[in-house]
Amino acid sequence: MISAVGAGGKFSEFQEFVVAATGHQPYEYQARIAAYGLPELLEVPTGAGKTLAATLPWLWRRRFADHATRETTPHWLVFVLPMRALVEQTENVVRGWIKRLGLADEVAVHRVMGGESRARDDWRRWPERDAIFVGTLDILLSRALNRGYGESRFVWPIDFGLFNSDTQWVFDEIQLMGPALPTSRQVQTFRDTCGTAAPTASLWMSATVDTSALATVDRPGVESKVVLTDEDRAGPLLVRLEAAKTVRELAEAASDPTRIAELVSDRHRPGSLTLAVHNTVERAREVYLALIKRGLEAEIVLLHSRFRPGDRARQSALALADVNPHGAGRIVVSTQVIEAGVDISASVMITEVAPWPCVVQRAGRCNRDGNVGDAELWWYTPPKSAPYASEDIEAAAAALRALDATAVTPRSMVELAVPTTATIHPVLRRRDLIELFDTTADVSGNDIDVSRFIRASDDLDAQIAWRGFTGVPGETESPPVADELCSVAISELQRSKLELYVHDHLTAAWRQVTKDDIRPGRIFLAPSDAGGYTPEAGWDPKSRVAVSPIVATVGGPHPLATDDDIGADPITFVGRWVGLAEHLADVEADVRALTGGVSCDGLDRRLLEAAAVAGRLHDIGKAHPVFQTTLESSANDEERAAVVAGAPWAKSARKGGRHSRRFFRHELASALMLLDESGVALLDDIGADADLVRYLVAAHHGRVRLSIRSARDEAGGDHGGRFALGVWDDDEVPEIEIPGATLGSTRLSLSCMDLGESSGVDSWTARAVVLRDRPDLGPFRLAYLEALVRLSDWRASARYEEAGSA
Amino acid sequence: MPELVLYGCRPEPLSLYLQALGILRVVGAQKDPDARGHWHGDTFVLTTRLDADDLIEFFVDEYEPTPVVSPWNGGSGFKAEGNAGAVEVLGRIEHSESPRLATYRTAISSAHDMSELAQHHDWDKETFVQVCRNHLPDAALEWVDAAIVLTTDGPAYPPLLGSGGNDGRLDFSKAYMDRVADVFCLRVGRNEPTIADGREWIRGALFGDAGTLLRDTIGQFDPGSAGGPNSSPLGSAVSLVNPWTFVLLVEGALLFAAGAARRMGSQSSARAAMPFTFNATTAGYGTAASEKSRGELWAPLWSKPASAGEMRALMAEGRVEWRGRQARVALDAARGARALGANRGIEHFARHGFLERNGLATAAVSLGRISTREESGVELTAQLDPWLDRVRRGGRRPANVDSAFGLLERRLLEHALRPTPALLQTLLGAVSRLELAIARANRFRSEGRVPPVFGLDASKWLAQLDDGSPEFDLARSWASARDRGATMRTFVREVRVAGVRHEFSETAPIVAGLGARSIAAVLADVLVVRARTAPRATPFPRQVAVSLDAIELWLDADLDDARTESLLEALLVLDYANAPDSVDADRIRVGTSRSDVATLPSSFALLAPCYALSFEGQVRAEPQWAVKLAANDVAGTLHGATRRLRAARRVSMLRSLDVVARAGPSGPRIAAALLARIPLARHRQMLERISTAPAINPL
Repeated sequence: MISAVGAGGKFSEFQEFVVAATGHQPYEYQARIAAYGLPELLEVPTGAGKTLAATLPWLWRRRFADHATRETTPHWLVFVLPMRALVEQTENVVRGWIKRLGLADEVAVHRVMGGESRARDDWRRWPERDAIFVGTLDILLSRALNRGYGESRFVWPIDFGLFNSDTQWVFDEIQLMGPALPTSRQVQTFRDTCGTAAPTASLWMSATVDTSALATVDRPGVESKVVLTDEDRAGPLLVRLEAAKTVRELAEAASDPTRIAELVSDRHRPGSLTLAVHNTVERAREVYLALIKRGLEAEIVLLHSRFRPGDRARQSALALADVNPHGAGRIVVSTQVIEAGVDISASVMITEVAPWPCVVQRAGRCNRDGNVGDAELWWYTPPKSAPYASEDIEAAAAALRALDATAVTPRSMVELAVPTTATIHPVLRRRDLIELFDTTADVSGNDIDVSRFIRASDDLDAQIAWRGFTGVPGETESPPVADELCSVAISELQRSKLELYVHDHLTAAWRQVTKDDIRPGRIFLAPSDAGGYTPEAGWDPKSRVAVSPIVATVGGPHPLATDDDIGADPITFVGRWVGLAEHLADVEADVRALTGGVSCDGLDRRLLEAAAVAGRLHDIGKAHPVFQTTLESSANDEERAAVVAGAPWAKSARKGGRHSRRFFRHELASALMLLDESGVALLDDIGADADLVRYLVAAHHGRVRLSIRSARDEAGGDHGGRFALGVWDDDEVPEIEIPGATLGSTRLSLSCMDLGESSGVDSWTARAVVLRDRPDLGPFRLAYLEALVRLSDWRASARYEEAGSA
Repeated sequence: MPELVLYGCRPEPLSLYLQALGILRVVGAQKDPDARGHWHGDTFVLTTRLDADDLIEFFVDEYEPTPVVSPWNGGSGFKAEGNAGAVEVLGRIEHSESPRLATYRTAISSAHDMSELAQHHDWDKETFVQVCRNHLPDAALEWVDAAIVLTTDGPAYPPLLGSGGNDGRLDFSKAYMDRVADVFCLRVGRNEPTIADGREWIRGALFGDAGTLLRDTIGQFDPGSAGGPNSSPLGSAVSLVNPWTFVLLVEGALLFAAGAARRMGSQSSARAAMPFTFNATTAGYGTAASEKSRGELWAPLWSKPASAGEMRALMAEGRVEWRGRQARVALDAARGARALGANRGIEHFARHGFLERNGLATAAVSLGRISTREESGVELTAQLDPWLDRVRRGGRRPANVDSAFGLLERRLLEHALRPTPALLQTLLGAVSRLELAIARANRFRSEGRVPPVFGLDASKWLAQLDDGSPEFDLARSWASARDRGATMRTFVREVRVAGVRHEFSETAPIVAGLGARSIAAVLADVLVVRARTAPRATPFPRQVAVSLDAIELWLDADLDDARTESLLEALLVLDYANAPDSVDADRIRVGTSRSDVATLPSSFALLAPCYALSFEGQVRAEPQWAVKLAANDVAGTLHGATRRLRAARRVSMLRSLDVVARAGPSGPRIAAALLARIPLARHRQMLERISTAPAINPL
């Protein structure tokens, strides 16, 4: 029994807490996790409550355990799943618990997937609040690598900072993670070795785990592991764990889908669920269509990954609905999508042989709840081993053959050692992480590729949206949003004759695809009258029935969006005039409030003070004449006199024109002012951290970080000196009042852009590299400080905007 | 801090450049974190708290070599059946006892493990390299990243380190270990190096004092000292090597770490990206048949003291996509690299080409310097982008448009790498040919709504194109001829004036045959049409003037007509609205021309003023003259002109006209010359010559 040590809130005991959340008692191992903390590895069978074990013990420790535990428990839980389908399911479960616990106002639950609306991104503004993030691994892990998918380059460092500090990561179904598994192991090690603002931890969990797959060069072993004990193996869990099914080989190894359909329908039992599992979507679809042709009474449902999100949700609901025991029953035809997290229990399963871990997962869906006395697991060898290695198929087939006519349980299957071939994935190394810290594109406009560390390259999917157009889609045809998209395997796409169009980023126009265009990850448009998709069968290249397009909801993201305009600065126009000194004071106060609200014991006081000073100075570059002129030009006639008299301003009431110098970035001007004589004097008190202040000031829009480079096509007018981002050598910024001081007029010099020191003064890059490599900072802490300053700026600006609109 | 001038380092050959980077990298990482380096002219300066003796002692007593192992290569010592020498030297390091080689020993032991696994699993090279990158100690990764990039499209090899750390039969890691063994005196024997030798060598490497050199190969890095092409066997040409130079050049090469990169958001797959390294195949180099270029490297020559950390950041930023599908990508990169250089105050890059000679061994050949400061014309070519974008948006290109497009992209890249007037002219010619191909691809042009070339501001281009040749001089004058509603381009190409630009006319050109008929015949026809349609404004009111030298050479048929013609075709696509004012040009040219009106053929001297001065209302050329000239009836034309001049009381009497006509240039050639602009002052001189001469000199 675990009893409450501290008085963290309304629940004094974990058991009571779990009952309130779920209506059930926790298993003993879950209570152990609540008492001793989340382990590095959780290895429990399917159906033994992994999601709960990863969530509620964390929540308990974060909010209701003793003070010391609460303080050291990360405030964000980041729950990572390998497939989109699992995300929604997990999110709903977790959200339900939070609601029943009455914590909905205190613990936010966020879903993070590709194609989610940006309106959901509000969470960034509240880094001090407890939150649970549930998302797919590509979206979440890319954030941890400073290359957030679907995000602007300029937002990457914020997410990199926030997700790598004070976070408890949870990786579920790790057998499906591919290269993301070693990547996640390495990143956690780098957090441990480079240091973070507050402790972070990772939990990996699976029912079937090959521990050797967890070993990486920098994290060879597992420090703590939780498995089931005998105490856990009792009651309903025991029934599940001991749920037996009899293994039987289908006498004929059928390759003909019609024959398979016949064998499936012969074995189906009225009033129950039969599950037919295939190794490829194509096979599943063929068997499904053959079953439909037979005109059975039983309900036939096809479930695989090649559906548009809305249709897939409906298919899942159909597959998972309770079966009327007095009716004809249901046959669910599926693929490996049912291997993870799908709570379905069949009386009869007919499966193609797959690698052993897959077979174990599939078998877990046969008599999952242990209520069927005579459950059967039928298997046969598919005509082709693809997508799996033939050795793995042969090994699994041999194992199954040896088990013929015997009853197996989840436990007995896991314990069987069946060899599988190891896949070699690229491993993220320390030097990769250090390089990823910089978010500047190289001279070819490219970024370091992180996709190889996240998804296997044999994950060969592209996505299609169907729209009602004729001929080539026009320039106004917007890029598709997530709700319209259906994933399709590249190999199938290459064989299909579907008419497809692709968006060419060089010309910003749609054009018909050529053979070379059909590559993984791409998004295509297809005319809806060409067919190729039905709501019941999903992707179906042979269908000629017109596809009804999904009308995209407004506010969706831009899957094809590239970088935001380098000159964009939306939050300058906030609906009211805000003086520069006022804004500087506001942001400094916000930084101080924020650093008081978040856990950052890993940051020295000096560093937090530097962040506050950066808040105080971040926008001084707005006093630059180019910026002030732009703001003043936005004043209407009534305001003009007052505006001119009240300068310098930080924000204006309404949107003005463009800066007279293209690409002008005020934050670069701010940083350069701090390198001029009077700016240097201003930072005297900060001492060794003056460069940190300058860096945080420059980085506060994510555009000027390790490198100062002029924009492509930027011209310096007829002035002969250096220029970058609209700032020119020898620009003068007049004297300004800042909170608590006066900054004399400054003359800007871009000599710090040069490689090497100029008259004994280090270059910008040299300074930034030193910060990145400083033992008390390092990449994670530095990015976290960046995020704090930027979020404080956002918050202050959002308040003006709220006030302005009110 | 004190500065040490390292006379042993130089921008060329590449070996001595890399040695400089190696010294900076090693001293910064192992001895003096504040060490900085820069180039002062052609010497390398190390700013460090160490003095010369300290520096030598550091290398002799403290330096720990970066582990360099390539177990994936047969000759690297990890395969017993491979190179016996490699196995031997690997063993020496493996069984050495120096604590300074401990990191190296760990790497070797790890690489042995990988090697065994590779044999057991029968991995292909790619998998093997991936496993090495996954498991080797951090210290050994820099070498892997400099030698090989793994992408989904397969491995790519930065040419700096050959094909994955070897060049032909020379394995760089084996050579490095040999030299490490030398400087650590791992081999004992009468002829083996001693500590004293090592001290002498490092002094030589750092400060350029000549010492005893070893006989061995340095490979591609120093073709100057490598044995010539006749010193076979291949790949092991015997040469004199300072062991320290080789060790340090490999240390320096590690700064050129490559990586896999992709354009975010574009859904393209990852490609290899290498610092300041350009692919030769994309650039379409024309080298001697016996030499094959594997690419080139731009070595930054910076002039302010920089740390190794800064250099590393520069190299990461300076990565260039390797084997980009489009020359466009390489072009952008070349522009980008120059721009980055300019941003970083790097005034020059030293270019090194990697040439494969005699089939196997590669040599790094110095190709001169690229300046990031001077006006190069590369910025000019950016003016082409809007038009090229229109062409790209035009949809699927028919074959001849596509090949013209591909050729232009290659020309753009060539020019970006070597911005010379000649290459800019060739480039512009490719622009013109692409426009021509589009003009003739009716469906593509109309459905893709592709306009003729626009936006090339002649006032900017001409200065960069000018090679000082008379051919250029003349072509420029012709191509710039314009009037409201008509330009030279509208006569000879399928275009017409539309506002400030041109549009395709959908019909054959007014005067067909440019490129097919002789240029004189084509231009003579232009004069015919012009004289008929705008008799009062013939030839053209606005155009750039030509020197008398060029006119005289043209009339004497002493110019390269083919070249003049290609230049004319190229120059047609420029927009002359802001071209240099003719009057200014007149003033300049009168003063500089060597020719005198007296030496011009009389027939031309007689006719030219009739056209040019007609603007002053004095003499008016008749449309019929042009017809006669085009038909090569020079005598008939001259008779007509004389009549006019007499009527205008400009000349009293002219004799020997038939002789003049026969002895002088052909009619079309004269007509073409009349289309060029000669300063008005010269026309007046010519008129004077005609009026005062009692008789025209038949010669």
